[in-house]
Amino acid sequence: MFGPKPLKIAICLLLVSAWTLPPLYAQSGKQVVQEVVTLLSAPPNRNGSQRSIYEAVNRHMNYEDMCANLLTSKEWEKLPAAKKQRIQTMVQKLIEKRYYPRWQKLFSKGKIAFVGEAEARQDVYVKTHLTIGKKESQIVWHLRPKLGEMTILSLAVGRKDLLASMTTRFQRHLKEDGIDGVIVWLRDKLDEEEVHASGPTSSELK
Amino acid sequence: MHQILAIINKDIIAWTRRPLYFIASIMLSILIIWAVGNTIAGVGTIPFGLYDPAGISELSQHLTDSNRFVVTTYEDLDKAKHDLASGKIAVLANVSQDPLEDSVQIVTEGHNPLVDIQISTGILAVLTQRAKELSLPLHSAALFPVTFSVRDYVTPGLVAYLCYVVACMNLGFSWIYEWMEKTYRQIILAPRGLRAAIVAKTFTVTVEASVVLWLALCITSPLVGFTLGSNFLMLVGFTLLSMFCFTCIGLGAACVLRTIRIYTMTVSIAGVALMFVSGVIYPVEAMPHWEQMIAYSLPMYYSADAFKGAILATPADYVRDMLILSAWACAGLTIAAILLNRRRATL
Repeated sequence: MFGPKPLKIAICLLLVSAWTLPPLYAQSGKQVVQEVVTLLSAPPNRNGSQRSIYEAVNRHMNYEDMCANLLTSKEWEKLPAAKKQRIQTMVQKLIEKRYYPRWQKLFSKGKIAFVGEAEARQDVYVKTHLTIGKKESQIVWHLRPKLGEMTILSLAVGRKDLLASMTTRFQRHLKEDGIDGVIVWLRDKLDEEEVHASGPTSSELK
Repeated sequence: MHQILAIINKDIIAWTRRPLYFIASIMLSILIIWAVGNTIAGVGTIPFGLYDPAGISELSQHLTDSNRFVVTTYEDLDKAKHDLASGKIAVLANVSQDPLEDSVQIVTEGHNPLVDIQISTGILAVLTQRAKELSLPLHSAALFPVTFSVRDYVTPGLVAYLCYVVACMNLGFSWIYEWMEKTYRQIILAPRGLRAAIVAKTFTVTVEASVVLWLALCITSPLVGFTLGSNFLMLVGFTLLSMFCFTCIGLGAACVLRTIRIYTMTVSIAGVALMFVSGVIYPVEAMPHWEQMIAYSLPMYYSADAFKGAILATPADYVRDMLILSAWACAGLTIAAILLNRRRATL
């Protein structure tokens, strides 16, 4: 019934479609954002569950590309692997401490509505609206594929972009003090966040 | 000595026979420590509106803990602004609900600059010292952080002021009235009677006024909630020295002014001026240079300095304070002795 000709045509069509159609990922950009929002909206109910939530969120974050963007790809490639890993760990910790608790509060209290999704080159931008009380703000999530998964590279609120603002600060320290200065600055910022997380000391309150 | 003890005995009997004057003195002291102290230290129940629906900050807790604000939380920013305009709240903190950036907007009604100052100082302390969960580009620090509150800091200055008020009033009423009594003139005309009268009077007034002040402090301290420190020996010592200094100055002034009406008026006016000039309310260092010079030449500044050191353990130059207070006491006694000797000659 099926001769060699239709089979050849079917194989050709399959190859053409695989080449022209966008790649298929395990989850779409919207699904990734939805999952991250759901994870951060869940109230931590057991000891240690906060850590597991953060680890689950981190699986959707693209800290490697984020760090490469902070330093420009060339600068990043020049760095030894150990330094790369150190910077990436510090950036991840910094964002965990600085933003995750804040996003948990906002997403658990507010409502996220998905407005649309757009592609530019290989990246995906997911536009959402966060409504808290009567106030609405727009969040644009910037996603990039990595190892067959869509991962979050940055997010922007109004004119503020997480990656862009971090890049500005990174570049300033890189220009003034080199990569070691950037590492020292990151360490100081982490120490500051430790203080913020632990609250005021008794001597400060007196 | 016998004369001195006899006059002291007479004064103590007169004092105990007039409890109303004693009670009035304590009431006056309590009123000044309580009401004036609270006013200077700042109001403690500013109605504060907080808009932070997602609970980004813990400002509600921090503001309440600061004991300066009564916090009302709002879920609706428009309602909060309406309440601010209608006077239900005096200030509104609008905490940004931005996922990326911390910012706090402080909105006040605006018609009362004094309330604005109180709010500013209170909020600055809360935002920079307590609200560590917010990452704000605003920090405050002290080279020598202290453990006492503004209310504690104000009290030693008021104690110095009360030394002046209670000692001068007590001395004035006691000396001028009795000077007018003929029996008192007889004491002065006796051999060494004038010296005995001066010694006995300054001693009695110093002790009486000190007792009044200590009682007032013991009553108000637990009620208002300010510290008296732990160095009670120093507190007692400087109370006696300050009281003695102002008693001697009062004696000199009483001898110059002669009548109770002029004396009371002068002491009252001078007291208010002294309180404002001597760094009791605001630090002398914040005043114009000429005002600083006046403060440094008057005894209340040194009395306040010594009390701050004794009660709050702040750096104080005790030796200098003692010497200057003693010098003023000597000046008062000298003026009184010269004038009374002249007047005795005319009796």
